[in-house]
This record gives sequence, C-alpha cells and structure tokens, in this order.
Amino acid sequence: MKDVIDVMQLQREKSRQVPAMDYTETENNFIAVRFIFECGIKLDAQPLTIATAAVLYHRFFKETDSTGYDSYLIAATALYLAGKVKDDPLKIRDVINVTHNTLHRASAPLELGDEYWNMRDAIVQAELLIMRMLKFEVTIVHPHKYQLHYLKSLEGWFSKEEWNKIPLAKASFAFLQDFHFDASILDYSPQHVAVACINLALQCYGVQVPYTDEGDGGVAWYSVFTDDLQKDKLWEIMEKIMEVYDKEKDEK
Amino acid sequence: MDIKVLHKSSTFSSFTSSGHKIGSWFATLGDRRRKNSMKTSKSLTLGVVHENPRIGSDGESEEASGASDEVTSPIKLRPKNRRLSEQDINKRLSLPADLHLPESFVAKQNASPTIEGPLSRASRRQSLSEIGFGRTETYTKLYKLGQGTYATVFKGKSRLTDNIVALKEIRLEHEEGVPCTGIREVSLLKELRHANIVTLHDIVHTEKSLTLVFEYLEKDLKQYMDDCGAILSMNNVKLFLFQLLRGLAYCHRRRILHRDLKPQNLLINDKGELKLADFGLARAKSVPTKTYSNEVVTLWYRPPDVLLGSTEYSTQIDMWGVGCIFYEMACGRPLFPGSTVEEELRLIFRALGSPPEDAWGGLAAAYASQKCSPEPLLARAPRLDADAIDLLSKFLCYEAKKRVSAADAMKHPYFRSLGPGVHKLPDVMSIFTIPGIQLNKDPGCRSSNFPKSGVTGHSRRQSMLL
Repeated sequence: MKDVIDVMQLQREKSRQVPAMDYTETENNFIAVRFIFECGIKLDAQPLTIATAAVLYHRFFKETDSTGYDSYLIAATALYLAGKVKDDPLKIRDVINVTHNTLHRASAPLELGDEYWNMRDAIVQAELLIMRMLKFEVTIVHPHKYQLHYLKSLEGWFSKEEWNKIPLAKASFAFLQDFHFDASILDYSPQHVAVACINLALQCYGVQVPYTDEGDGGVAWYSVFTDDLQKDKLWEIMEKIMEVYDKEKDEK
Repeated sequence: MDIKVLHKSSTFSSFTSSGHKIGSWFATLGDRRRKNSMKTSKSLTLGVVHENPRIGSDGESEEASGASDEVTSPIKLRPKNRRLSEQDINKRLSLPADLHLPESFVAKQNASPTIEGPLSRASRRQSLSEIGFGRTETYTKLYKLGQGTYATVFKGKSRLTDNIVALKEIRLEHEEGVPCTGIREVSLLKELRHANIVTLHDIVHTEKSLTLVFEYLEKDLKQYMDDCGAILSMNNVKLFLFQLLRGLAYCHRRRILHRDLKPQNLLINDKGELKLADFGLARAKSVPTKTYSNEVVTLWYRPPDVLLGSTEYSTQIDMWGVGCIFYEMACGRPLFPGSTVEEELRLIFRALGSPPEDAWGGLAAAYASQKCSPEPLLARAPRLDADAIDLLSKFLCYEAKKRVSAADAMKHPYFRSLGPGVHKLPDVMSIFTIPGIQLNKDPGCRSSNFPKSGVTGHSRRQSMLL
C-alpha cells in the first residue's frame, strides 16, 4: 500500500489546512452567515434550520441597515429562532456556548455569571426584535424541497452509472447552501433558485440533458417545473451564485 | 416606537470592530436594559388583519417609520384649515367605521399638514400605532376564559371598536424566550385568511408577554353540544362538518397541518359559523401528552398512528379527528373516550376491528391482543344515513394514506344537499351567505330564544383557543 496515493487522505489533509476563521477581525454579512453555518453545524442543527437562520438574518438586515446592530448577536439569535421555527429546538445555553467559543476560539465556556445572563437576555430580546422586524412572518419556503423533486425527475434521464459518476445532486445542493451566504437569495422564488442551482451543476460538469439549450418555442428542461422562468433570469441567478465564490476570495 | 429607541441607543453596536470583549459588550447591554427596560410596553402595529379585512400587511421598515415621511404634496386641493372628521380619517386609513378615534389623534391629524399628501405605508403604520393598534392599553381584559399549554386566554374588549375580542396571552418564558408554539402560531395564522379560520386582529407585545388579539366567538363546539343536550339537528351537523372541512382543506392546500383537532378548538358564533382555532401545534413534530398545568391532553381525536408515536408529516393526520368529531356531533357522545394511550387504542380496535398485523411496523400487535372484528358503524350511529356512514368510514381508515382528504370529502354525496354554490365561494366568504343555508333549531336546545343562544353560558368555557 506504500505507493498508493490515498485521495481521501489528501482531501482530509487539504481541508484541515483551512485555518479557523477569526470572526473578530472583520464584520460583514458574508462572514456573519459563515458564522451561522459554522455554529449551526457545531450545534448539530438540521440543514433546513441553518438555511432558515441565514434567511432570517438576511431578511432582518434588509429591513434595517447593518451598522446599528451587532451582526453576531443577530446571527446567534437567528439560529436560535430558526430552531424554534423549524421545530428543531436548540437549547439557549448550547447556542451561547457555541457562539461564544466560535468568536473567542481558545476561551473556556462561560461561567453562569453576569456575562452569561446578559448574553442570554440579549438573545431573548433580540429574538423578539427580529420577529417584530419581520412582522412575525418567519415561516420560510425553501428551495430545497423543489430541488430534490427536480433532481429526482432528472435522474430518470441518466443511466445508473452516469448518475453515480457525476455528483450532480451533491454539487447543486452545495451551490444552494453557498447561495445562502448572499442576501440576493431573497430576491428569487424558491423554485427558480432550485432550477438555477441544478443548471449551474449541469454546466459545471458539462452535462447535456434533453432541452439543455432552449429549443423550439423556448422549451427548456426546467419548463415542466416552472413555466415562469426566463433564460435571462436563470442566468442572472446563476451569476449571483457564482459571485458568492468571488466574495469568498475577497475575504481572504 | 420602542424599536426606534433601541436602535438609536446603539445598544446592539458592534463589539467586534471596537475590539471590546463580548462580555463587556453584553454587560453594557444588560445595564442599558435595566435602565430603560427596552421600553417594550408599547408595541408597533405589525401587518396583521385589523378589524377590517381591507387593511393588508404593511411592509415598511422600522427605519422608515422612524424618519417620519414629511411628504407634502405641492398641490393643495382643499384649504388647509378644513377640520377633519373622524370619518375622513377612518376612510383615509381604511379603518372600520365603528372605530373610536382618540380625540388627541384627531387633533393631531388636523394640526398636521401632511394629511393632504399621499399616505406612505410607514406613516400609516405610525398612525395605526397612535390610534392604538398593537398597544396593550387598547385592550381591556374582562375575565379569564381558560388556560392552556403555553397561554392564558381572556375575554377582552377593544377600546377602539368596543368589540369583544379574545386575548391570548403567551407568557414569555424568561429561560427560553418566546415558546416555539407561539412563534409558529403567529407566523402561520398571519398567512391564513379564510372564513372558517379564526382571524388574528392584532399582536401586542410587551416585555413579559406576547398577546394575540383574536376575533371572539361565543362558543366552542364542545360547549355548543353541551348547551343543546348533545342532540344537534342533523342539518347543523352537516353544516358544521362542511365548514370544518372547508377550513381544513384551505390549510392543507397550504401544507399546514392542524394536528390538534378537537371540539374545544372549533369555535362557533351565533350565526353558526365554525372556525378553526389554536394553531399552536400546527406542524409540530410531536404532540404533547401533558399541558403546562400537567393536565392530560385529550387523546380522543388522535389517529392510531400518532398514538403509536408516528411523527410523519401528512395532511391525513387531521382527517381521523374529523371523523371522531363528526360521530360525536351526530351521536352526542365521543367515539373513543380513552384516558390512556392503551385504552384509546383498545377502544379503536374494538370498534373498527383489529388492524392488519403488519400495520405500523407490527407495533399495533402489542395492543391488539385479542382479535376483534369490526362493529358496523351504523349500529353505533343510527342517526346517520348511508352517505354519512360511508363518509365516516372514509375518515376512520387505519391506513393514513387511504383516509379521504378534506378537499375530496367536501365533494362527497353527503354534502350534495348543500347545492353547488358552496364549492364556488371565495375563501373569505362564509357559507351562510348562500341563500337557503341556515342553522336549524337543535332539538335538544334548552333555551327558548333560539337564535340568541350564544348569550348564555359564556363563563363555562374552559378551553377556547388552547
């Protein structure tokens, strides 16, 4: 086994090389959503709960300007509130410990003292603030279910080997998750976002499905799913998704 | 305007950029809180259905509402000194005509030059708040109607309209903030506008509680049945069942499950309009078995799959309860009045026969120790005709997937006598707007002045909206 290159091992090592983010250095919405995802994963929250938190966060800052509020408090509260909305309850103590430790990497968990109680009060108050800012409309329709349904339908066009070889589903769900970093996800309908993520994955792997290129009468592969998506709009969303990765580069 | 105060005080200022430690930042916040208590005693009106369906939700940001829109129209159509009547203001803000505007507000509107200008959503919201929407002072509590898992319900009165309202006060647990159920109930009810779903008029938010202001209905179905000695006119049974299905079909169409249907959650007014209430458990993964006060929640309307612990999402979960309620209305007694899960399942199996052995992963077998053969439903419910029995059996189906949906049930031959008009009504119209559809006098009704039967017995309600 000496001469064998273990690709998995390489990948593991590579991923380990990404240094832990220091959130205290810069503060902006992109980084705050990264914070939501990091804390959400540490809290073992469901993917939809984390997505809800990201959307709540973006909607909150769409209602107001970002200078007046601490983005990490809003981020932590969005996570906590998302747990309640999605019926995936997160304990407030866990949320506080995880967010605190993620912000201050080396520090010990908070003692049950003033600092902790103040933080808890802040989250409880901010939760009501977010709810009122969003006019109590905190139920969100996600693109995920549409995307799953569309992918299941597309699967029928592939042979089993092809489908297993090309990580279409994985890539499109990765795009969807990453698109949550950008507030522009609020501007498009969930169905359109789902189609755009899949189409981007198709483009990335150079996969041609029937009607990849718009054919007669503007029929495309996704027409059967959403009949109100124009090509221009689709490409606009795809560009927005790709821009997310440019933003990540800017951060580094 | 508390949010504005909060905002300007820069309570939520950045702690990271200024290099402060999180602790000192939160400590400052804590101090500030103690000083001004966040001034949460007043609350902004958030876009809910006010007591007039014409007002939609307004999507203005708090930011904008703070910076009052000094929109002065360059064109002056009327002399400025014209005194505005209450009617003018009501019309301008699309308020119901029976609203009493505070004098101070009318005076202010007269003093303000902006009245001729276009009304922005922010300024309308501000006006609504000044009138009193969303404020705790606007609603007077009369007396307690009941207490439930996470809320207390009061009968109350709106000072604006003199209308009776139901105030559902949700305690804010200091430990964990707003309860999960409260968040879901508010956000779901805000989406629902239907003649057979209770209307949310206003939300009042104070430091200690979140109060939902609902329209008030005189009775719940349980009380209604009690008041007429459990003998309902079969015409009324049909009307109630149809309205229940209509409200439920609307919810299910929006992928919202109620999950806690029972007669106590169905409210009825003196016209006979039935409305679904209590969406606290809607779409929750688990249905609790104990209430806040540790009372056992009724199991009578729960399908066997839920009793056996199923947490699957499906609209069919509500249909079993519809069947149980249908039977109870027609027969005057609950269908499966079990007090424990085991007893409940035993009663179900005795009436409907043992479930197939492989049902629910073999779980049921443990409860169905002895073989039971189904008892004909007609023998239990002699007042039901053939169509009604057929419909009932479609609700009480062991296999959730085979239970009839609310939308299909509405088309069942049992309802043919209501005529075709009931299927064409817009969502917000009541079925009683159709000529010929009206409540009959219930045979068991004790009070002689029948149409006003709603006046009596208000103090006995225990479970409204809970």
